Amino acid sequence: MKFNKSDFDNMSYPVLSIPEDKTVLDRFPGLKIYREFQQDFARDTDKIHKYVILMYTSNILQSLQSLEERKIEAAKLAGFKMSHSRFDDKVEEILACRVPEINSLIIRVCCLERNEDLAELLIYEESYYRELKKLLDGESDKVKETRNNVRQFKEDIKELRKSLLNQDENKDLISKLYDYVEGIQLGISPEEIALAKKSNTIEDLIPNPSV
Amino acid sequence: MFKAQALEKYKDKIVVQEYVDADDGVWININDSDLHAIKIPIPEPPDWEKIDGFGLKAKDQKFQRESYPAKLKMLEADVHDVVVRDRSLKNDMARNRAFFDKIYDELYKQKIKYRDIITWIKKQWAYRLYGKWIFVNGKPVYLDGWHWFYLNYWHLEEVGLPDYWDRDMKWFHAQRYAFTTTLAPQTDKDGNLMYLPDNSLLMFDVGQRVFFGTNNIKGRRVGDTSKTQDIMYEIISSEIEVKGGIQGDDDDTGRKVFQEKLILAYRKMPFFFVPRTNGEINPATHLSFDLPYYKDSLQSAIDYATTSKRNYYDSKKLRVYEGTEVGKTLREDVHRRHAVVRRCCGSSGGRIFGFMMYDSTVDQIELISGRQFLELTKASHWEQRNANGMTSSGLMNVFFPSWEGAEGFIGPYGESVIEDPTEEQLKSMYNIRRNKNGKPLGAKEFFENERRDLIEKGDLEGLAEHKRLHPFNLREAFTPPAKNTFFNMQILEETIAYLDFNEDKEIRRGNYIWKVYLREVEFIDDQEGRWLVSKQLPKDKGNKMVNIGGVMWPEFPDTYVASADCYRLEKTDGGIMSKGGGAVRWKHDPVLDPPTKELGEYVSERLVCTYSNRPATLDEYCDDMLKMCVYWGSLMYPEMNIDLVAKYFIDKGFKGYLMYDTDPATGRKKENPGFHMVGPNIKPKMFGLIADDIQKHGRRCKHRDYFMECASIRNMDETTKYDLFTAVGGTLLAEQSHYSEMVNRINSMTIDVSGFWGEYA
Repeated sequence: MKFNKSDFDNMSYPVLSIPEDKTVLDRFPGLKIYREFQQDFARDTDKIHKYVILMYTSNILQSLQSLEERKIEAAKLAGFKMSHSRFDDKVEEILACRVPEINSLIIRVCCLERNEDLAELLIYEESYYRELKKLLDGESDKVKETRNNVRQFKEDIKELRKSLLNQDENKDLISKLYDYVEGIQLGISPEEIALAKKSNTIEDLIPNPSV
Repeated sequence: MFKAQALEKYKDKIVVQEYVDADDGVWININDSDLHAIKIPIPEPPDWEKIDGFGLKAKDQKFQRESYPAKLKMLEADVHDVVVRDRSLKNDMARNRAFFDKIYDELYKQKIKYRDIITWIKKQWAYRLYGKWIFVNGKPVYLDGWHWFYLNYWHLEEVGLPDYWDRDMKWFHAQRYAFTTTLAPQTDKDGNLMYLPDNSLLMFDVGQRVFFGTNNIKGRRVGDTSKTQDIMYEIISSEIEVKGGIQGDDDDTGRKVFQEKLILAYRKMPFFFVPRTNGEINPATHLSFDLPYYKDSLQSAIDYATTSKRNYYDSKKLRVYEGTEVGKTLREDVHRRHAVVRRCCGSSGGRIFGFMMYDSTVDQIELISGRQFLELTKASHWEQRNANGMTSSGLMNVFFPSWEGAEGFIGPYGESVIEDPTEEQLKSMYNIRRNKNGKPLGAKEFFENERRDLIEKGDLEGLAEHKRLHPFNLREAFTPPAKNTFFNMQILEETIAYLDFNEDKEIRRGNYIWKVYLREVEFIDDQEGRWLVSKQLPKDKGNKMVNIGGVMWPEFPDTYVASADCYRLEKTDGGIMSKGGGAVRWKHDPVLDPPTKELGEYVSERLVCTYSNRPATLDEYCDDMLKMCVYWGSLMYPEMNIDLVAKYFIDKGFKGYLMYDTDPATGRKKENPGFHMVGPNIKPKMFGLIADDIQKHGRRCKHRDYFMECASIRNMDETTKYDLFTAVGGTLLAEQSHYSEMVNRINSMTIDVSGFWGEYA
């Protein structure tokens, strides 16, 4: 192991300092309000929570240049065991972002950690499509300038996305991110509230401030 | 968080030492002999730092309304200007729709710029959905979301936004409890309720909602109708495809509530609490949250019934129903309408999806609906559940005495000023009244003084009305109207109220039928029966008669005495056909009730059987009277303005059952049986006897029907309208007579007395 547990004390969710008899949700009960954290992965639930938090929030693991190396290190720190330099197939699937439920969890953690990046991404996406529409509709008087804008927005979006996903550009993960972004609304109209009540996700949209 | 934890965590904040722990529940229906107190659980308070008002001195902790951000006001004003200037928008409806389109568009496009506003609005939603903790005078208090919504956004007619009142806090918790609870009281093997150390009940989980809603028995001007509208709007405006309905006591009350309460508040609602509509600003008949071009439109609506009839909402599915002024309902049977609405709010499988809120004062208890409202109330006692964990009506009574939340008697922290106000309370009371000694009054003394004044003026009717409109307890809300000065109204009222709220197994309704025609009668229980009885005779004691020369005589005529007041076929009273009255009285039994015994412990000297009915024929009525006398073995002392009862008895061979007056001088019996309600002496005598009987034995009376007539009669000329009253009066007159002793002597003779009594036979 290249790191000490104490190296992770400054994380927003210091999961490595949790006593052995406690889980991530015991230590951070506020996470329970998110349905992604309510998913049950049997006896791996707590390890998965730890892995996702270690891998996708800001911490010392970012000093590792290789994404693969970071994932392996995060999984080991989370408690997954290796055998002959390989993880169990299920764990490998998680690391490769091939488990949709866990990808949802990753997106939730990313958005919790980098809410501002997310907001910015929303704006850039909208601006990007607005500029793109101008080009397609032939509405722009300054085609060259608009084209440059589109290019610039695209670059910016790519950067933001990387930042948001903690440099992980896995396609499945990006796809999940966009699913999530498209689902984001203001969440303040009676219609949005009513839908959330009906789908039993109201506590995701409007968390209870007293909890 | 509890105080001990707070003291530990906030050591540096001295002010925390002033604070106290939150209550672990809200109690309602307390200190009322007819209601079981209910403890409504409250969630554990969060970290005190998260509670509004934390850090302030206890005395400065009062309810504070939400502060509407200036930035949001500016945004609204800007969007409003754009909409008003847009000439393509032709009318107010179009402008209203455009306002909603544009303001959401603006917020969506500028999420970053308006992030603080969006966060603030989300916080408003959070409070509306989950409620809010606030500090009030050093104590954490939990406001239900409906209450928070009411205080911050529900405009009242001529008032504006309401103030925080402790009574309202409890009232809203009671409504939420009825809307959500799945618990029912646990009983032991003998069916007794099981108590916890704090006197609340041990409950078990039924697994499904157990109440359709609440039955709110209220005094005047406590704002319950506005509060129910607040709840209706809160639910309907945040759910998809649901309906709310308002129904009043007549054909117009629903409209008034809709327009004067709901629409008034709706028009002042901030945009983020208003679902999309077609833009109509002042809807007249229904509030529809439906905008066809908007794909997420709620398609929910609130309307009002244009009639008090049950069929208005029949077969519709209702999420929320308000039945306002149920106790005054005209032209409709409250029970049957309740059954219909209950079906609208639940499935045949027992799942409850709707919420019903009844509210009413009982201005006119003499209306049938007033009585029906009382019966509905008796069927809504929280602790009395059936095997499915529900009350008979499916509702739960909610009652607060009039001194709680009395207008003008509210302290600085929203507390009800019930007893003498403190100096601090006086500063916030706008209705300060002092007694002749200059002492400021609390609400209780104020109401008591009003009552005392009415008593001193002899205005018993006003007193009864005051009790109904400003009740101190549940019983008083149903105080019968006091309409005469002959009788002790306090005894009448209290006894009627006692009978209303206490089940007495001796009191049974049913019919007397011939088991053997003209020989043996038996009593059959029947909820629709003609008689109300409060005593049953052992089998070997009833139907005791002797045959003397072909004429039937009661064998023991000295125990019970009966009277009857027949009706005229053609007689009507205000369009209502009058009834025939009948009564049997248990005469004083000196063995059971010797002179040494306290009057209150007497078992005899009381009514045991009453009859007030109008059968299809007079013969049927006369036969009813005969059956009654045969069963009880009583002499009949009929009112003789109409002599049909006496004739019938004679015709059937029961002349010996008729009672005659005797001449006090000669001891000779008079020619005709019974008495006449004519002449200057008979009515005062009867009224005097009744008044005396009420005074001495009234509290043991078990016949509500008779006491209601006593309470209602206004003057001596009205006896013709009160047939039962006259019949009972007849039994009291009869009890004065010694005629039965004469009959006793004759019955005990072993010789054939047919010759002596032949003239009567």
